[in-house]
Amino acid sequence: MATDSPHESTDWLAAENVLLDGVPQIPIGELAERLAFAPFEKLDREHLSNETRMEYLEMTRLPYEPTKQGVTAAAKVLAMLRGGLIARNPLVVENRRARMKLLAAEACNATTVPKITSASFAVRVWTGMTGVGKSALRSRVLSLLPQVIERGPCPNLWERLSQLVYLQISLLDGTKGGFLESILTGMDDALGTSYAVDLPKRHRTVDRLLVGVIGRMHHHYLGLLVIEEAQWRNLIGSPRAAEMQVFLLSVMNSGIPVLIIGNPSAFSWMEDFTQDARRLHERGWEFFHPIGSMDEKSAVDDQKAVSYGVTSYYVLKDLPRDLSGCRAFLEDNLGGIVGHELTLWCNAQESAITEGKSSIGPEDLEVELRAERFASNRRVVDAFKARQSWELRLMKDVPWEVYATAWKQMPKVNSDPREQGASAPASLGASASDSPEPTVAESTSAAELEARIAALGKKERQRFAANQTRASNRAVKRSALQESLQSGDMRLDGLQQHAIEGIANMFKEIDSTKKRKGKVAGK
Amino acid sequence: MKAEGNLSSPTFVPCRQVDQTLVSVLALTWVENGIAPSKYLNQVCGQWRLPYETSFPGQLSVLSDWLSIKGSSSTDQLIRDHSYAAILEPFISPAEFVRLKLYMVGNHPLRNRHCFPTQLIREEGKAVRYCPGCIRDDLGNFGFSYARRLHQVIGVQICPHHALQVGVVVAKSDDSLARYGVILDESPALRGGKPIGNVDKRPEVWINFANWVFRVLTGRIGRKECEHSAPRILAALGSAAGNQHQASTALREVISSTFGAEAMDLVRTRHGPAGERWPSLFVDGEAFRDHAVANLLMLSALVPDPAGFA
Repeated sequence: MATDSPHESTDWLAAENVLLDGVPQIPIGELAERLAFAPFEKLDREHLSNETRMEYLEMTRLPYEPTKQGVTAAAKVLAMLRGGLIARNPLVVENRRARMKLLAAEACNATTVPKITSASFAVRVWTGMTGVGKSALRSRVLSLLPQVIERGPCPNLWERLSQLVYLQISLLDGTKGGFLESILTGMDDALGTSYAVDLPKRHRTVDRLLVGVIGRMHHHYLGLLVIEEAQWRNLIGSPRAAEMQVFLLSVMNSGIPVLIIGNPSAFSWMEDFTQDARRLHERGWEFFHPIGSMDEKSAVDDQKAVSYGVTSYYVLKDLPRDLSGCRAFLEDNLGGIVGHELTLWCNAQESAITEGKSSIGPEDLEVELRAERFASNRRVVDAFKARQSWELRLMKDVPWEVYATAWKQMPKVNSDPREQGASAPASLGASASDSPEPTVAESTSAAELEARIAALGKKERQRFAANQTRASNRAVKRSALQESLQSGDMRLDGLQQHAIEGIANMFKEIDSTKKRKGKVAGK
Repeated sequence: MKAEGNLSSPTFVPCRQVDQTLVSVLALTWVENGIAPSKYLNQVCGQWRLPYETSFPGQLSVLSDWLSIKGSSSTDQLIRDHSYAAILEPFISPAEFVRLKLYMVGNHPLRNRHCFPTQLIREEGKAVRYCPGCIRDDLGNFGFSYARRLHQVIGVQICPHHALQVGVVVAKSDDSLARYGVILDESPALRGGKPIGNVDKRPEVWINFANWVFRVLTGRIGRKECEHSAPRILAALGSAAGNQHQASTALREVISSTFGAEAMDLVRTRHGPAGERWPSLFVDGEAFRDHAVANLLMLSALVPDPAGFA
């Protein structure tokens, strides 16, 4: 029978919860071992054809060797998943009532999601630049879970339930409709339903469809919604970004645990939603950095584990020449960026196959590092290796301020932050690292910065200078314009003020018309 | 089959509750699966005029599959636990009950007019009745409430479990789910509940009647117990009165004195109330001997405590 409301009693914590059956509770001590994945560990390398070797290297079944941060992040997400199911225990009457409210709103084709007082806000963000292992970790964490659990009769609850443990979708589209469609398609793939076809027919507007989609997620007791590819262009840069952000918040506030994975520049909008941002910063933010870039205590161990994992992704006939030398090369020369370590390692193997070699060594890695096909990665690798934050500034998807702050290279005079491309809060990096948060006083001098700029290539120097000039010109123009504007100018007071005045005038006009009509009628 | 053509298999089938109406079972399943009950209910029921009927001609086998009720007795289970046919079972012959089931499962012709649920449930075809006390209990136990067969049967004015007057939700009510037998909160229309002392002069006799109905619906009093109810009633009345005319007069008087004169109108045919003549027809021939409400009125008048009936 049903237990008390969670608001009135704490008995519900110990209450039986059928939703947890089959959702594994993995001991944290075993998590690193369970997350590790070496796809070629038992490969019979000697008898493979070269074509097969090439095919294997092109596969997307990537190896994973967990870092300390990876294990922690995975443990938190798994706990969030199970915690979310505990919070939605169907034996708690309050939860059943809330769920029925959502489902009834869906069935009645409501336009707004009903407010559910018992819904918890469970959101985690995995952010970081490309190649730091976010997606690989996500893939490994989800592989530990069943996606769907078919449940049979459960007394007083259901005759049949298809429980959806997790759902992974991509935010690539950047539109509200595309976002909802990807959720429904994901559900259809996992459950064999036809929601992607049926629901848009039942709910004709996007707002109604949102209510329907949230209802479907609660209907299946979705344990974790994983949203990938949160990028600047689809959450901030798109024309309907603001609507998309509110939309995403509605999903987050509905009580379904959400894990958002993406670039740091995609999450600056959350700062505008103070309450949600606070909750996120308190416990939900996991910033993945290239190993060692934030001087974390576990860097040496993590780097060793990663280079071990990368070098286990090996398909050539003979073992690598000087394996420890290869690992040391990867650890020393790739700036701690896991993705690039793996790319270089695979590139070297592909070259060896095409050249008819049966193994690789450190010298092959050296050649590959200087090769043309690695050139696009080399700049970021070198920047992290040499800790040159001004190099990172030229790359749009790297949160250079985080590293400039951590490496004490933040210039004293900041230009307008709106001109600075990526705008992730500087405190984010510091919160995830063990180093103390640097202040402006500690930052490097302008002279030092200039000296470093001088060390750049000619073209890069010119581009950097042009950007700086453009930014300062804009700032000067803006301040001059603001000074010259009159107090009533719309550009100064904003459109909102203008609209308010317009409405006030309209009401005055209506009143005067009424009075006029009243006088005429009186006569 | 309309239901089959329009409904994909549900991914969540809620547990059916004790005495829940079949419409409510379906509506709850639809709501759980994000579908408005109004979308399909009329198609499944077959007739818009009687949306709350549960005869479901020809639909039950598909619905039992759809509701994940497995096994050969699946349709039997739906009929016994959730349809109004259960109230008829003790009073009609086994062969007639089989014909009724065939009508519900396969839309076979049904000749016995007393077997149509129109004679059993209340006149307001588009209204659903609830007990406020049951709603409060359900909301506390399950988080939602549901329509019960008991409250819909003609003559059940007071809930025997809570001694509260049964309230009505009509079809045109704003509470769109309540009219399909699904209640999510105590809506203003159903809040409170009038104490029976204020609304009826003889609350205890109506509670007895409701108890009889409940026991029959839930199978606690079945065919075995009621097999010879009519002859026993007649024997009791006949022995007191001496002949058939006096027996029918005695029967009319027993019902009128127990429930009031208006209770005679509770026995209905397909065309409306049977009128004052039904006790004579019951005594003289076979016309109303298989009428569930007629039998239950007489039984509850003659044997107030159903627990003592054997």
